[in-house]
Amino acid sequence: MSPTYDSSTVPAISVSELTHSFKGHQALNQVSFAVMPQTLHGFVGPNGAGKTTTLKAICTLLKPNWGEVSVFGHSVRADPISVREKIGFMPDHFSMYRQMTVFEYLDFFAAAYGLNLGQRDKVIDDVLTLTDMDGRRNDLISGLSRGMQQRVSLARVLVHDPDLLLLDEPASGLDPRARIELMEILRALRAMGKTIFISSHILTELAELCDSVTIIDRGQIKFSGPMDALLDADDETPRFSLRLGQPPENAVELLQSVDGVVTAEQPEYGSPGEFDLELEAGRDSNLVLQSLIGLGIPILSFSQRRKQLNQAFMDLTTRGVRT
Amino acid sequence: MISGTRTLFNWSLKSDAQAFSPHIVRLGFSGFMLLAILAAWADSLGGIAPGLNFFDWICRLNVLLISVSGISYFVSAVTEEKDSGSLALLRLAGVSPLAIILSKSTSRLISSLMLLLIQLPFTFLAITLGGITWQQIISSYLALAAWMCLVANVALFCSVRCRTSGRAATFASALLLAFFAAGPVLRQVATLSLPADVIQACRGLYEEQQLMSVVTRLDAILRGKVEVTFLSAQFWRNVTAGGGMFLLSLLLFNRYSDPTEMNPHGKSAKVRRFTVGRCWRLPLVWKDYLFFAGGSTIMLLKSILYVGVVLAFAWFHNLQSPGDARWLSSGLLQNAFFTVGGLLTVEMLLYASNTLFMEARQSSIAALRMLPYQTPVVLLQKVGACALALLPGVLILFLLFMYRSDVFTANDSLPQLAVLWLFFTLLSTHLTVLLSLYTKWAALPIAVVVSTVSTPCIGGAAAGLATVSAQAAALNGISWGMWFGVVVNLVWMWLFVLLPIELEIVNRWNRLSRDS
Repeated sequence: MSPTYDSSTVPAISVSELTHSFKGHQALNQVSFAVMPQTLHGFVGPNGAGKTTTLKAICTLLKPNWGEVSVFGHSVRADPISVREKIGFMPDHFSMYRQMTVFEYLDFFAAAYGLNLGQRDKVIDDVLTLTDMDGRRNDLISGLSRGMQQRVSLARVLVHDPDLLLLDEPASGLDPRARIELMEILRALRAMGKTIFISSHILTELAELCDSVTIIDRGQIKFSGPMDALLDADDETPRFSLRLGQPPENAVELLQSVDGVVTAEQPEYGSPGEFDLELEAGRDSNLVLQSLIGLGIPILSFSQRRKQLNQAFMDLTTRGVRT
Repeated sequence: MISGTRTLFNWSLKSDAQAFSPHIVRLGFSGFMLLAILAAWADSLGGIAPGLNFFDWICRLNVLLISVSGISYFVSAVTEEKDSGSLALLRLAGVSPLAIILSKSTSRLISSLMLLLIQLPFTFLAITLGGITWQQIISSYLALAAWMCLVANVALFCSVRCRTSGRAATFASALLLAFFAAGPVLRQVATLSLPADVIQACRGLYEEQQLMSVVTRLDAILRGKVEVTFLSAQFWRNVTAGGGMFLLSLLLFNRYSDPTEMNPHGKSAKVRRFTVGRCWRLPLVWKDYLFFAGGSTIMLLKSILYVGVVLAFAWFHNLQSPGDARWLSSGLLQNAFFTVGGLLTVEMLLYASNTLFMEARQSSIAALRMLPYQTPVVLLQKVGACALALLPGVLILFLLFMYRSDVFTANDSLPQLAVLWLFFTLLSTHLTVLLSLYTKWAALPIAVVVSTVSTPCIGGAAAGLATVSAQAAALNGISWGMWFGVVVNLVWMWLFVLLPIELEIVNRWNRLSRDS
C-alpha cells in the first residue's frame, strides 16, 4: 500500500528538464519526473536509454549540461554534500575492497560518514541482520559469493541510514534464489520508510515490487507515474481469463454467444479449459459472469487480465539498439 | 599450438602498430631528441666535444628509462591478467604459456626496442657535432638493447612468479637495486681486511657484475677506454641472462598461474587470522595505511631494512677503522644518508604510481566520491596514509642527520642538493599520480623521464634561486636567509608547477568517478 501525499510533500527525487550529452551524443533530452518519499520506484529502459546517466546525475557524480535535479529539496548542483548524506548509491558493478573483511568494510564506510564507535557497532549489527550476513561478518570479502557480495554492497549503502536508496541493476548476475531474497530485503526497507529508486531489467519483479515506474527510451521519458496507471492504460476493452471445468467441444461458440462478450478464443499455449474473453467497453463484468454461469458449464476461475509490464515496456519503447 | 601462439603474438604487435598512443609516444620521443640536439648545438658554441656530451646524456636517460620501465611497464605483463582474473580464461581457452608470454611480454619488449630504434637517426647527428664516432653510437645502442632484453625478462620472471602487480613491482625493484648496489658494495668489501678466499670471491663477483653492467659498458665506449666492439661481453651476458629468465618464466608459468581468487560460490569462507582494529577518525588514512601500504607488519620490515642499511655502513666503517669510537665516518655517513634517501624516493614513487591506480582498477572511485567529502579531502587522506607509511625512512634520515649534523651543514652544496631532490621527488610523484589515472603501466617511467628532463631546466632555476637567496642573506647579515630562499622556492614550485598538476588530478579523479 503506497502512502498518500498532499501537494506540499517534497519529492524524494525531482528531476526537471534534465539534458546531457557526451561528445555530441544526446544521452538525456528534457527528462522530467518525480519520485515521492517512501515509495519504491522502478526506472526502466532499454540498453543505452540513459538510465545510468540519470542515476549518476541524481547521485551527484555527474553535472548535467542543463536542467535541475534535487533530492529531498537539496539541489545536487548547489549542495552535493547534503545530497550525499541523504542517499545510498549502489552501482551496477561491485566496487569492493576484497582484502577487507565484511565488518572492516562496513566499519570503514560508517566511519567515513562520521559515525562514532558506538553508533558504528549498532548500525553494523543492524545492517548485517537485515541483509542476513550476520554469520559472515569476519569473512574476507574475496571469499564471498556474488550474491553475498551484493548483500554486503547493500549493507554498505545502508550504514549511514540514508532516506533514499539508488540501486542500479541490483539483481544482475544473481541466481533466482538470491534475486528473490534481495527483493524481500527491498520490501523490508520500504516498510521501514525508505524511498527506493531501482533501475532494473527484470520487469516481472519490478511490476510486483514497485509503486511507481518511469520508462525512459533514447534519452526521453515515455511514462512516469503509478504502476497501476501504466498497467491499466488503454484498457477500454477489458480482457478476462476464464477457466472452465469440463468445456464442451463448441465452447468458443457458446462463449461468443454470451451478451457482452466481443471475442472468445483459446490461448495458443493454454490448457484445454482456458479461454481469453474480450468484453464490450463499459460492460459490467459481474453481469457477464452471471450469463456465463447461466450456460451451465462449471467455472473454475474468472479474472481480469491486466496488461503486463513487459507489454507496456514494449509498447512504449522503440525496437533496436540506439546508435 | 604454433598457429595459436603466432596468432596471439601477431595480434599483439598489430594492435600496437594500429593504436594511436604508442606512435604519439614515439613522436614525442623524436621531438625530444630534436630539442636535445638543439641544446647540444647551443652547447657546441662554447664547449668541446658537444656531440659526445649530448650522446652521453641520451644514453644515461635511456638507462634510466629502461630500468624504470622494468619496475612498471614490463613487470605487469602477466600480473595484469592475474589482477583482472582473466589469466584463467586464457588458460581455459587453450592458450599456451608461450603464447601468453610472447603476446604479453615479448611484444612489449619489441615495442620498447622500437623506441631505441627511432632515436638512432637523430643520434647520428651527434657525429656532426663532434667528439663521437658512428661505431660508438652503434655499440652503445646494442648495449642498451641487451640491457633492455635483460630487464624485460627479469621483470617477466617477477610477473610470472608474483600474484599481483604490486608484489611483482616490489620484487623487480629489489632485484634492480641489488644489481646496481652490488658493484660499489663488492668493491668496498674487496678492500677490507678479510680472509683471502672471501676477497677473491668478492673480486670475482665484482668483475662479473661489471661485465654485465650497462653503465660500465657505456662508460667504456664513451670514454674510449677500450677499442669499440659491437658485440661485447656485456651484450652476450645480458642477452643470455635475459633468455635464461625467459625460459625460467616459461617453465614456472603453470606452477604460478593459478588464479589468486577463484571462489565463485563462496563455498570456502576465507577468514583472516588477525584483526586490524577499528577504523580511525580519518577512514581513508586507515584504509590505505593498512590495506595499501601493508600496515604495521610492512612498517616493521621496512624499519629493519633501513636500520640494516645503516648498520651495513657502520660495519664497513668498523672494518676500515677498527679503533674509531664513532659509528660512521663523514664520507660513509653521507653515503648512508644518500642511500636511505634514494630508497625513500623509490618507495615514494611506487606509492605514487599505485595509490590512485588501485582505486581505478578496483572501480571504487565512484564509491569514494559518494562519501560526504570534497575530492581534495579524499586525496589528502590518501597522501596522509602514504606519508605515514614513509615514516621509517624519514625517521632514519632524520636520525642520520642529527647524529652528526655538522657533516651536512658544512657541505655548501647541501641546500641546492636538497632543493633539487625535493623538486625532482615532488614533481615526479605528482606526475606519476596524474599519469596513473591515464595509463595502465607507463605512469612511473614517463613521470621519471619527464622529471629528469625538466629538473635541469626548472629545478636548476630553483637551486639557483636558493643560492641567490643565501648569498643575498649573507651579504645583509641575515642568518636564516638560506632557509628563507628554500621556503620561497617551495611556494614558487607549488604555485606554478605542482598546483596545476594537483588540479588536473582532482579533475581526472572526478571524471573517472562518473565514467566508472
